[in-house]
Amino acid sequence: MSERAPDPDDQEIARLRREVAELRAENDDLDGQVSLLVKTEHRLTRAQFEADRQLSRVRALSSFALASSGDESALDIAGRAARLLVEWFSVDRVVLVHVDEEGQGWTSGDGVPRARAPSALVELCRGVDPVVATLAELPWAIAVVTAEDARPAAETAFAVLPLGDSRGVVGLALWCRPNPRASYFSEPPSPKHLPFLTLLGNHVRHGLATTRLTRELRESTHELAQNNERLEVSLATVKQAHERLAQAAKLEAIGRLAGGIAHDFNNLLTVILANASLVLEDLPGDSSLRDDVEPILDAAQRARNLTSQLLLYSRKQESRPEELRLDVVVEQFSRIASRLIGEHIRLRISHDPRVGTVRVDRTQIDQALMNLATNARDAMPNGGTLSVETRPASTEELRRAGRPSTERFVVLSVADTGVGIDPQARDKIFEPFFTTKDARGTGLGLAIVRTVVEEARGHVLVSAEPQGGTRFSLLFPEASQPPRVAHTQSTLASILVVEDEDSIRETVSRILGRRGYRVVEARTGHEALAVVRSGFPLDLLVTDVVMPERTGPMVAAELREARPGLRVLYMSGYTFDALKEGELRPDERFLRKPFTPEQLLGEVSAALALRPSEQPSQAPPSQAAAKP
Amino acid sequence: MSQIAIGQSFLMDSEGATREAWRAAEAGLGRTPQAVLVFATSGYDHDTVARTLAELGPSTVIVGCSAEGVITQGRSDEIDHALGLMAFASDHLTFDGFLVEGYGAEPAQAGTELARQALAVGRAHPLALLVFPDGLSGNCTAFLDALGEGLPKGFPIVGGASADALRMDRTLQLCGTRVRSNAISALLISGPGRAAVSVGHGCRPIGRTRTVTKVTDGWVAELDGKPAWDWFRSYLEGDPQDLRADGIMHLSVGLIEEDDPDGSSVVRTPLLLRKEDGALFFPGGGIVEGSKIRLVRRDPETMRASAAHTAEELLSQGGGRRPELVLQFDCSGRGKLLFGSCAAQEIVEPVQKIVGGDVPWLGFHTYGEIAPLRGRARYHNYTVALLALYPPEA
Repeated sequence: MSERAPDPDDQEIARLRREVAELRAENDDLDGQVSLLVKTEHRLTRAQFEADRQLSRVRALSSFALASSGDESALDIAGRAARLLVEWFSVDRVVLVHVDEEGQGWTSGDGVPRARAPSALVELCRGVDPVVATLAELPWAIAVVTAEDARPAAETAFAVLPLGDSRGVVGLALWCRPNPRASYFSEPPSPKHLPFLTLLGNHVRHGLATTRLTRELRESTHELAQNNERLEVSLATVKQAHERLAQAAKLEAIGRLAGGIAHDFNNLLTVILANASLVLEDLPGDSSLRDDVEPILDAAQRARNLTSQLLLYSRKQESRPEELRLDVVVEQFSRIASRLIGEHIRLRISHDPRVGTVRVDRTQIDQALMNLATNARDAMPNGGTLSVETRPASTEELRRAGRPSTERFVVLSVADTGVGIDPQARDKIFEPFFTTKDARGTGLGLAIVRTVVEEARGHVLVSAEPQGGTRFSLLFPEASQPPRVAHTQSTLASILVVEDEDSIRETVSRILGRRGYRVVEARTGHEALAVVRSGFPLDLLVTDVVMPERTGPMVAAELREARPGLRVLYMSGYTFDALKEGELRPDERFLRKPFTPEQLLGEVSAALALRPSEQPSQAPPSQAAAKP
Repeated sequence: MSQIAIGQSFLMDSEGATREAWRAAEAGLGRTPQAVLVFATSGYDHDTVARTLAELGPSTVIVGCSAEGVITQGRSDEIDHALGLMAFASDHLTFDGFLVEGYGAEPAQAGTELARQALAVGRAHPLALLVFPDGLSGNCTAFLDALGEGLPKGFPIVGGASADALRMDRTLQLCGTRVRSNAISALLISGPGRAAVSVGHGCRPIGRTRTVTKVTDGWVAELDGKPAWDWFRSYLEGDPQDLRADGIMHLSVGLIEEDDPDGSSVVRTPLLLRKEDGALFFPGGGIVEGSKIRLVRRDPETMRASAAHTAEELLSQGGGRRPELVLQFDCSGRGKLLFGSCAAQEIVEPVQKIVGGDVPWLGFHTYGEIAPLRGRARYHNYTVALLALYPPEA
């Protein structure tokens, strides 16, 4: 066989075929490379999606944690978590199961709080770990959601985040069904989201704990502040109590001092006053000795006032309230007021006829009136007007006094047009020994006024402005009965004077004898009995109260055995236990030492006017009061 | 003088969000807005949004659409609940709103009708027509061609295709209290001044040219005689059975035209898959049997450079002046899908820095951008389209 030479056309065809094949291979390779490139980019895109989702959630969690503050309510925190979950998963519904002390509630996906919480959901939330499942996997949970308005399909994704502790919110639950409007970037909850759900649950739990702690801290702070306030009040109370105690101790000291000297002092003053009066009475009207005697009387009067005030304030002087008409008191005061206040001050008196009587110690009310007038005088060195009025208390005055408007009080008002009271001094004016008069004042005047008024269960109101005058309104409860009208009695009666102090006994006898009474003296109770047994026609017993062997009441009791219906006038310059307010019989009266002859004669006359009592004589308990 | 103010809200409640955004915008204006442009993401009930706006401003012109995300100064919010609105109050601008239905079935007819309505209002100095067609139906190329023919040549037509949350389910267009799908909403801005438009691309063609061999009603069924979905799917990871957003973003094609032989200027992206025959729907239109296409690849570097150039171009058209407002229509595929949570820093802020960080700025992530190219309005994908309004020159 012979070999044939290759056909050039065939060779070209073959070459071209090879080239085509090579080109096809290159194209296929290019297609493969393009496909590989695009597939790789697609894979990267998916990975980037997932990384971006994770990053977004981490950022959202971080922002959620950073935004937490103790100022939020539990519902606010859960609402924020709900909104976050909606954005993450585009869920249909987020339920907050809230079973704290405020009750139950749930919030929908849009964060709007609603009422009620399905009890079965509460039970589900009591689990420990977050749960992600479908409702088909939690068949009993379907019963839960059927209680809701929107019933999800069984295939709905369902997640529960237990958040709570024994005290607070139990959990968040969310479910999701296919939502065509949800973003491509969101996805339904699935088990792969458990780490994020757990983290979110932790953040919410911490937020709730922070809120609770903040609330507790605030409550504690508030309670602490209240305790501090109470403590301050207590301290102030203790301080006031200390001050009152110190004041009481001071008063006690004054009382002891005053009481200690009062008896002797008053006895001395009685003798001085009585004898000076007798001397003055005996002196001719034009005698030059009058100028010597009158200062004695004046000094003795002032000494008596001072002693009286000390005793009054220290309450060592017994109060003897009686029913009085204040207009009568004021009228009598007005007769001597001009001497007290001077001619440069005009006195204006007014009375309201509607006022009734009050029950107050006459001596004390006189003293209070005197003190107020003295202060008014000192407040008007250049003259002015002193107004004294009596009237029923107004509603406003009752309100200021803290009394019901239905009560009836009588007002004794003393007002001046003087310098008024400095605001700083106003709170202290009733404190004992506080004075704005330097050495001229004792500091007892207004303290006594208040004591007198309070003794009568009344109130003192003050209205004063610097340079605007001062008004003191003394409010006394109106008594229900009119005062008894005193009347005089004829003289020439037989009187037994029992007094262990010779000077007093002799002075008293002298005053009574001069007035025409038939007087017999006795130094002791024993002597008095002897006088009675001697057949002396006795109309009145005038006796000291505190004596060495027998007290005055004991003497009276013994004498009444012989002379039933014997009227008695007790004399005393000191508080005594043997005779207390209310223990005076209807046929007995009391005269406080020191006294002037007029006062003695007035009381004797009043005692003689008493109707002899048929009350059987009762011997007071045996008491040997030591003479102070 | 014109006053422009922006309001936005991220509240979940539709009415509450609308009121919040309105209050902010109204406060910025100091008076009731003359017109409002509103873009809201798919978490909202757009009927409620429209109704609330109408209640707040009974005489206010209201135009807007659903969006994949909302763009404002320094922000790009591609979330379920983001609402942004631009409020206008001007003594020299007028605003007319339009809503043309039937776009999905007869896009060209809708374009003709919109042109007719726009001309019918008889504005002496129309500045720009903003259009927001349904992003998942119709044929935007046919619509724009018909619209362009009905309006003066070269008249600026700008806008974006309405979008949803990348679920490719339904988009909405609103005008007044009317909220529709398969429709077009539009806002005509008229008055003295100047409208500047710029568009920037960011794709590079890759691979061989293919020939479209079968198209029915806008659905591309075959390429080179083979089922279209088989070809597209071969580029995706994991042999997917469905077309999802993460795949869509890798399957865009460039149209090879006489004046664009490499196919980098006019990009089309398939948004829907018909599983029965593997056909893909390109709402942008413009693809017919015989069309030559190439796969295009997103290029972040090109995108950044192009965006910067677009901003500079916008400024140069205004002679370097500060614009009264800027509207930004940016592709949904260029935001979170491409840059994740850094979208605002990557595609929004750089442009705003060039144009002005204090200029009233509103935009949305679209399913297609609409802006002029080589003398006529075109539909684009993977682009940014910017519209700036400049006040009349003194």
